[in-house]
Amino acid sequence: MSKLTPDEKMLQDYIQNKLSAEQTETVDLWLADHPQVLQDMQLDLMFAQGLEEIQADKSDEHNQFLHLPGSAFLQRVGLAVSMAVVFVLGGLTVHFLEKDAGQSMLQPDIIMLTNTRGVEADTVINRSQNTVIQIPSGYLSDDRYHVELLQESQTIYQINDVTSQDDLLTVFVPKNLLPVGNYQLKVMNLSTQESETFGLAVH
Amino acid sequence: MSIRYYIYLNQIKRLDGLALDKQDTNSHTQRATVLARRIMAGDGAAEDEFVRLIQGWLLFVIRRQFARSGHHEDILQDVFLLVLNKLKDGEVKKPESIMSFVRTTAINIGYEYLKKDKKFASAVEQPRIDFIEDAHSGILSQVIWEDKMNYVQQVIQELRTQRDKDILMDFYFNHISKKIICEELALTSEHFDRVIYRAKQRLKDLINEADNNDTHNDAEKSDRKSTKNNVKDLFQSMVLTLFKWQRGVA
Repeated sequence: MSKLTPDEKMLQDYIQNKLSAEQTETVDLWLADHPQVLQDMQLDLMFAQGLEEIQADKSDEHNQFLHLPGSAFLQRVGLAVSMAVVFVLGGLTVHFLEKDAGQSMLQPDIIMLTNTRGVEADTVINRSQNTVIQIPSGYLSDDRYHVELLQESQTIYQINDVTSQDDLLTVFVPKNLLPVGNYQLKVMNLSTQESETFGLAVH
Repeated sequence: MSIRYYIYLNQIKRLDGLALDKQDTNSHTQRATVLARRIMAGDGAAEDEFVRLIQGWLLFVIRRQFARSGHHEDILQDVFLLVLNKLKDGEVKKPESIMSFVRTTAINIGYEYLKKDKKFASAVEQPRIDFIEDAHSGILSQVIWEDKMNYVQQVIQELRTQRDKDILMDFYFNHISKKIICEELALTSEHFDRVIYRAKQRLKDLINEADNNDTHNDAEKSDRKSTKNNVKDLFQSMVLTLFKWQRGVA
């Protein structure tokens, strides 16, 4: 049984995806033991996701009417630019630019970090491979994050003002950037000031 | 009985749920722990019970976490296959944390689907678990869930005032807190609760109506419901009808 009991405000924040990963887990587990509240929350969820679909639908229709010749090309250029911006924001930029990412950039290791309350061992990173680390953020959250890479409690890299893309925070670690050793990746939500730390072992 | 009293009862029910949390001696979590131990001891009958006990909750968690995915039931399948196999193989060290383990497994598998946009564990030939759409489980069927946009749209259209529509949009779509909505629209907390309660009640009525029509008249339902319905949906509703008939519900 979950230890904490959510209050009304916490349940509202849960529906609005404003809780940290740990708080979300608490509410999820609490709901398992409260089927009546779970039924009620289904309706809340249906409204939240139904309205999301309605707005997306309207947006699609709107875009169709505004379609201009050549706009598909402009969209592609825009997408490429925004992807580059996300990549720069989400990557350890300076070192990526200084070092040669090499051919293995074509197929980087992709690692998903999820909150497991520290029960699992450190996530292993291969230092000879480019690595993309992804961390789930709240659904449709536009919160901003501060990401720090620490070794023995000392910050060795940090990225300010990271935003999520497709509900994921993405951090790029170029190959050979980090010496073999153990590190901690600390992710802080700048809106809630809540943070999560993940263990990384570079081999 | 006035609507205000209904809301009051609803709030009391929620608060009771909060207060009774620590007193509940036969919670789903405890029952799931007992069942997990039975599965680990080789009791095959406990597997069905385990699935039936937590499938509704787990489907809700998956739907909430992976709103944009079209693979909710596939994720559910894969989670149960993986968890049941781990239990049978004795690989779960803390059966008392089985709910947490199931949830974490679901989230990990869900992200695998997001990354690959294909099935995770089910990529290989595996037996499928028969999920039972129990009319009394309170969990919305996939057919209704996939049609949620139409139900929500109908509720919104039926609202009498623009202010009520704004309240729903602000709370559910713009994610503005109740406190701020009340301040900006000069509402009392009770007024806000009343609008949300009525909207949810109407949504519930529409769903129940559709569910009854599903049970009694599949052909009529396929004409009335959205154009998104396909052969698979129809088949699912037939299975549901058959199941209810066997239980003497239809």
